[in-house]
Amino acid sequence: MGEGVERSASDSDLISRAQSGDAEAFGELYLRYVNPIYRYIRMRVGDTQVAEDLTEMVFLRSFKSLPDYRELGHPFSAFLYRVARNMLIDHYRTKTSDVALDEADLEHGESAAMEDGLIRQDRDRAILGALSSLPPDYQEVIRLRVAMALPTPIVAEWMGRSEGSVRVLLHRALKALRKKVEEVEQDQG
Amino acid sequence: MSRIKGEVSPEMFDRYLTEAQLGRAGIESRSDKFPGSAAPLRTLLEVADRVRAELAPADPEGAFVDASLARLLNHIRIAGRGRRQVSPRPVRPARPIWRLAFAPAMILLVAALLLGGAGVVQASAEALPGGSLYVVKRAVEETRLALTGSAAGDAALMEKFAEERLSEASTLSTEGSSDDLALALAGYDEMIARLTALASTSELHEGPGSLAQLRADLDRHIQILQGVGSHAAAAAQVHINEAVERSRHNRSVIEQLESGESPSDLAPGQEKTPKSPAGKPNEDRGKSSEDTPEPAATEKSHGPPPRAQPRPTKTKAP
Repeated sequence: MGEGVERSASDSDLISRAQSGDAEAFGELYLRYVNPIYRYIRMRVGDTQVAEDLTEMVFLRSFKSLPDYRELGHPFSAFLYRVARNMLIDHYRTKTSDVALDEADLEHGESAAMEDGLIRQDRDRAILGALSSLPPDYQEVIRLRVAMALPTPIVAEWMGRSEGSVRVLLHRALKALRKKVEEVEQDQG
Repeated sequence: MSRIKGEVSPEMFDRYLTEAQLGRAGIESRSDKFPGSAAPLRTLLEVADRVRAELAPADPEGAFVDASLARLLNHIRIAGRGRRQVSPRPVRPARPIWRLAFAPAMILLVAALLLGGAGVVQASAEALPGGSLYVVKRAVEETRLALTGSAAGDAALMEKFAEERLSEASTLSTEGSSDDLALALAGYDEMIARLTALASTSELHEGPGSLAQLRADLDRHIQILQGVGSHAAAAAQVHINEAVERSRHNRSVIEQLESGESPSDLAPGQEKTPKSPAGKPNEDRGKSSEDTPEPAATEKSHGPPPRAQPRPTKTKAP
């Protein structure tokens, strides 16, 4: 990292400098958030190389969008998460072009397509199979809050919900998951 | 939310989950604090533990983070340089000769002519980066570019100058300093960036200034660079290899543009062709839903959503 960037600089300061074309400032933002963004993407795709490429694309696309970025009280990581989600949607929409995908129901289509590859790789894993059958919001809160162990306030920002709503959603999601796991394990004998 | 006897409230579960994630207690000690809720709490925490055990993703490799950061910074710097130097001009009308953009080049050229006459300018044609006449050579090139009257004319000259930089790099790869080689390759990159900007905004479909021509040029340049790299000194190899990588990426950018996609969909240093049987992300990218994402936009969906729900409402888009 360049000498011109302080590790203690706030995200707002770094964003402002990056918007002025300061590459080092954006580099510091990258270092702060590459881990959670990569981990989120890695969880959604079955291949490390693909996850790395998509992660890089997220940051590149984010940089290109910085001129229009306004904080409005939301953390920068929430912005990166949105970019990552859009990137994944694009990725799976084209990857599964041979699979009928209802464009009007993108949330469901996205979710089903995304998990499709994972299920094929891990058919025998009850948790993954059960998770893929849950509604998208349930899947997402479990991924973020449980698998990634992100704190509730961050999950709330990323998902655009209140903290209370995230807690309730997680509670319901895990109960639904437990039920599905039992069903899957019963089916597997 | 009120808690029914024998039930676990979302708040309680969240608190226990946090403690577990912080490694403060195991399931037994966690759930036994509230005997009435112990069984359901234990059940949910066990599910959470299984999720974490099976799905928790690893951090990225350090080598990837370093390389990715380097590519990103390089891309940002090149993009920044391009923005300042290129200022895309689709079809260039005749320009006044006193145009400020090439005034420094003209001043240098006039100074060279005054001080050394045409001989200096002629001699500079063979100059290499690091040489005393190299600045005159580049000034002559900029002046020639400024005096052309068409996008096609600009493109033809840029192609010629890009190949001149490659020729300089070839010479310097065996006998010159590493810094001078890097300078030649930076000049090549700059010329390709300008060509790309010109080709992406021009309406030319073939010949100099067209995307097809630029793609063919880049194919040839990659071959030239690989040839140069095969006999380059060890210190020069790094620069050559990086130049090959950038050229491949540039070629993919051109392919993106030709297919009507946004080059921003391509990661820095990334090629459009697949690198592994598993498939690369961009090989599958037919069309992008959002070339420009909605910054900090959020979705609101209320309660547990059914599987086929209307698209969630976007609440804010800064």
